[in-house]
Amino acid sequence: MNKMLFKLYVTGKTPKSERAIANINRICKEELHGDYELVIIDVLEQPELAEEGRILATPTLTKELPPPLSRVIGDLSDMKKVLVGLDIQPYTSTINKEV
Amino acid sequence: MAKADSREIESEITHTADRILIVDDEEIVHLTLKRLLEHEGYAIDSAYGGKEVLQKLDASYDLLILDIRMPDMDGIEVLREIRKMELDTEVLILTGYATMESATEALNYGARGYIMKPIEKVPEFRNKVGEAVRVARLARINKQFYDAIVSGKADSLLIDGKVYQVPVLREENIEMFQRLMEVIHDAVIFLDFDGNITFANVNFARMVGEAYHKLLGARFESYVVEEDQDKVIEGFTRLSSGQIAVSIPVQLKTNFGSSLSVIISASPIHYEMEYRGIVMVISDVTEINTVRRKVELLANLVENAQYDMIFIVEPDGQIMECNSLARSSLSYSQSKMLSLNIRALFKFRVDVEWEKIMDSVEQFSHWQGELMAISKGGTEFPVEITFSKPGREVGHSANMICFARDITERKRAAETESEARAMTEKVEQLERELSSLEQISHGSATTVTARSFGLKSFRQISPDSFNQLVLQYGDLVELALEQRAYRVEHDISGKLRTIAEQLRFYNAGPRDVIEIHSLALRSKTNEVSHVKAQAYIEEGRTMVLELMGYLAICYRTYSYDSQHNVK
Repeated sequence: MNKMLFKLYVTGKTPKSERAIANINRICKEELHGDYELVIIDVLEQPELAEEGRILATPTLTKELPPPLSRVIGDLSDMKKVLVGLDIQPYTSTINKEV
Repeated sequence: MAKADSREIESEITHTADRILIVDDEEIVHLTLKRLLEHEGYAIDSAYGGKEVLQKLDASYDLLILDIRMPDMDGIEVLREIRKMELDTEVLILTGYATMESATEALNYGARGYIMKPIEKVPEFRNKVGEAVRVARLARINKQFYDAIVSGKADSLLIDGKVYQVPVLREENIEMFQRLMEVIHDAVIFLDFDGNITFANVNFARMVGEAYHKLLGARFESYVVEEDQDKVIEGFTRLSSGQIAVSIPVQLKTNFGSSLSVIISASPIHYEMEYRGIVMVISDVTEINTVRRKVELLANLVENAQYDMIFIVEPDGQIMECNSLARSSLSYSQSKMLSLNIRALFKFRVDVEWEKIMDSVEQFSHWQGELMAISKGGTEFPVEITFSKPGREVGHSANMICFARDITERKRAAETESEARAMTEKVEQLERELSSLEQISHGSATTVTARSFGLKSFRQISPDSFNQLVLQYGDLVELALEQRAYRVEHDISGKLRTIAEQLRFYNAGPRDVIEIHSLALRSKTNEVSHVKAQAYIEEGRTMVLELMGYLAICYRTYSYDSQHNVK
């Protein structure tokens, strides 16, 4: 599998942002076994990157690689939904696309 | 954030190619459409009947291309079932000329459009599909956005390069709002800008006795009585013109055959600076109005009571309210009265102290008695006063109500009656006195002294002279009264001496004197007032004694002269 590239957009050190960072680290460790790259972008410090990424809300996690591009909004506390939303796991009918 | 091409954003938001489900019982349709659509980059799935599509369809599909005529379930039936699933999936109907009517009906069930079979105009087909998918995607984005905000998944929004903090709306807050809609006593209604009901909580349905599903889409004014409809329309017009709130009392029509008095509190809804509709809270004030009318009636009765001064006082006596008779009787203005303690308005005695009154009120819930009221000018007048307190069952109010009635006239009447009774008793006593004197003068059993001057009375011997003396004596009583009242000198004693000498001449005795006295008084007291009668009798009492004395002197002098031959 190609190395995955994730970008996590957060706003400062809000509780949700902190949880999102912790959760994505956990997901990557448990599910991806190191085969990933994670970039954390604080939109307050680097707003141009948020604009470039067309980010509408934070925290938002995007999967840049491998395509297709996908994104998940929220603190990523529901791992299953995150994995499906990022196409890391096959889609099932019980999971809503807007996860 | 720079305004990017919306398609660019939309395609980036989706995490897979847009998914389309084709439903048709003909394989050739699937093959044709699949070829066309996969070339556009869409992910295509297939279903061959209504039942299959209902099993397969979920929120992952952006678009459903649905044949209107299928062997197991027709397209309309499928559409009805899909609507119950509350998906954002858009629907395009596949139809031929023969099934145009059904296709048109499908639009009523939310289908976005229809595609004619066989597909001859491919660009048009592509555009329709593209538009439908775009709408579905936008709806999903909006929902995503909304969910992110409402569900609390996002804590910030990035709009045009600015970061906006999102208020935290936790799940439980939403549940609370929903619960509030259920338990709130008032009706809550949303109207669109046309005045149609788009949301109503169950209370409005209960208020008007209408099935809930009939409310949605109905015009709100249809639930208002005719005479109030213009008021409602005018209020809504003001809201749409910029007024931020209106409050309208109206009568609602109900299916119970009655009307309901309500107050409508309405505000406009704006979205992106455009007027979108109205939110209303409707409060049933029927009972409040009934209570208000009752309170107004009671207040009017109290305020205009004609015989009782009425006060509402706090436990320490501070006046909270009073009626107009209290103000006018005591000569205080309303504001002045409310600054006073009720103890300042009445005179309390040692045996009727404020503390004793309050003890009685505390123990028996009331006290009644008589006090002197004191007006602003210092005028005192007697009042019959009652302090009472409502029972515990009325509430926790410790305030008292005080009734005070001016009893000046009553007391005056009682005194007059008492005086009249006393006068009557005195007159009766004097009457009895006169009667006994008459008995003495007419009685056959006489004392030695009484008969010492002859067997026949003066009246029998010389009735004319007797009567003359009765008249004289009566006139003398009159003069004696005048002398006392006006302090004029009429020489009553001298005139009595003269009468005494005349009586001696006729050998009259004490019995004759009494007879003269009683007859004269009987005549004088006839048809005069009690007061005058009493005056005559009292004056006569003195005179008769004086006359008796002069008569005795006359006889003593006559006897001495006779013995000593004095000429």
